[in-house]
Amino acid sequence: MAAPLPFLEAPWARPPTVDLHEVGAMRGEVTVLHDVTARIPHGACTAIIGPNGAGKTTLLRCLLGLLPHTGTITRRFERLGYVPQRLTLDRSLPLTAEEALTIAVSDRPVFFGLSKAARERARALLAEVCADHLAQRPLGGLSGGELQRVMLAQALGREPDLLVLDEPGTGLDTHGHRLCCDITADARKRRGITQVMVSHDLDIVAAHADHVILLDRTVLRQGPPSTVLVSEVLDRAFGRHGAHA
Amino acid sequence: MEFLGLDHGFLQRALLAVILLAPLCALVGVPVVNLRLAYLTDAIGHTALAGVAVGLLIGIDPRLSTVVLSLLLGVIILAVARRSRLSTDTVIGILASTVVAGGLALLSRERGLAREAQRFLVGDVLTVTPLDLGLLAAVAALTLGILGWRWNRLLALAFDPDLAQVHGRAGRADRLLLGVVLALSTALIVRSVGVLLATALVVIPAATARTLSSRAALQPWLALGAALVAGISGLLLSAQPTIATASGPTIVLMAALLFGLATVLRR
Repeated sequence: MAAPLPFLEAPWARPPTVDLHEVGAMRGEVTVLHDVTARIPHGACTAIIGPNGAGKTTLLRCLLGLLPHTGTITRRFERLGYVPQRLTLDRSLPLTAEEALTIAVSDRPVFFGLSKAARERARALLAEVCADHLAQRPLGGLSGGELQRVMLAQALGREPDLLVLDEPGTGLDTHGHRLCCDITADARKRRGITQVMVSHDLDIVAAHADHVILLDRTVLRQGPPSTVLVSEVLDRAFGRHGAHA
Repeated sequence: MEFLGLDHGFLQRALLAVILLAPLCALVGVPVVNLRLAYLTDAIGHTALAGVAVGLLIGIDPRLSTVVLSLLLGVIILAVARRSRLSTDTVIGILASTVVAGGLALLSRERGLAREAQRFLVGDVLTVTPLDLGLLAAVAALTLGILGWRWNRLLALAFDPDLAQVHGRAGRADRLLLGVVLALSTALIVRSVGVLLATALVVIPAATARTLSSRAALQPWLALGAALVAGISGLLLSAQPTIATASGPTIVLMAALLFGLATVLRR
């Protein structure tokens, strides 16, 4: 019998893609994270959830190497694809979708025009996220959902082993958020990518995550959604309106 | 009405200077505008005053002292801003004012120097020498080479600095490189249009291009066009006996006029 494809193996069968051991981080004098020990299982979709101010984005930034931290983070991946929160992007920059995808990998100055190969590559990546019709559109004129898909195409263009998404649903309606998650899940399965996302939408987390880390400055609980997304745990972390924290 | 053409040697040299300055200003200006570094450019431009004072005082070419001081200031600003709790614009404001005050204090001690420094304060493209042109051509070629090499990475940095860093496309080294290029170019731009207007020549054509363009591929070409049109028209107009204004300010006024037109057109 043929060996199972990597994405069909149980996420826990291989060493975690990322191991966090007693990670801590400060913002000025304030402790934002302390003693965070968690793992990002290989080939799975991990969601980091928690109330406002729990340190979710801080943890993600430590993982990405953007913030100094204490403790150790063991990274077992070669290439990383990152989709930042759309709020941090400069959308007034004159830049089309195909240009954004090209500057992420090519050093041929964009003012000499895009090569045929660069255009074809950009269109293929955009097609993968159902956005090939957006190739020539300036990013400033795209809707939130369209921009999210272009950013996802940019991250996938790096052929990542680990895909990191920071609040992919911010500013999207339920349909847009679900579409984004479906595209990500599809890409993850086809390419065997490990995924981490920070999310505040517990419905989406329940539908798409294989592994959940519940954070409130430290790890309150981690494991499959069935063991973390239970009312007594969520009530304790979020209060009684935890479903949409 | 008499129109003074290009049959005078000084005007021909000035025109050549403008043609060399235009791509320099346009290509430095685009990342400056995209990365919101107009205030840093202004600070470096004003540092030239202190650079000139130091150069004249210790008897070396003021262009050299200007470049060295501008580079130093740029590096110090970046280093202090990283460690300080203050915002970068506050750090720039404090350090640049301190350097300018130092330059003015030096100049106020030596009355002879003050007259000489005045030349750099307002600049004059009509008095550029063949040596100035040679330097301008060399720095323009070097700058354009460096910027062409890092162009896409600077664009990625402007789009999202974290994303650029995480994807290994650009980081602190690219900002530093842009600072070096900025210091080099500003020292030469100051010679032509003066300390007070150097920033305008870097920022306005690039801002005009950003206003008009929705593609990254077009922005530098539009900036180049705006810089050339403003430079040549401003130079020729300022040389006419009926107008007889200083060339630097006239060029900047033409650049501002183009920016105004671009803003109206965009609406």
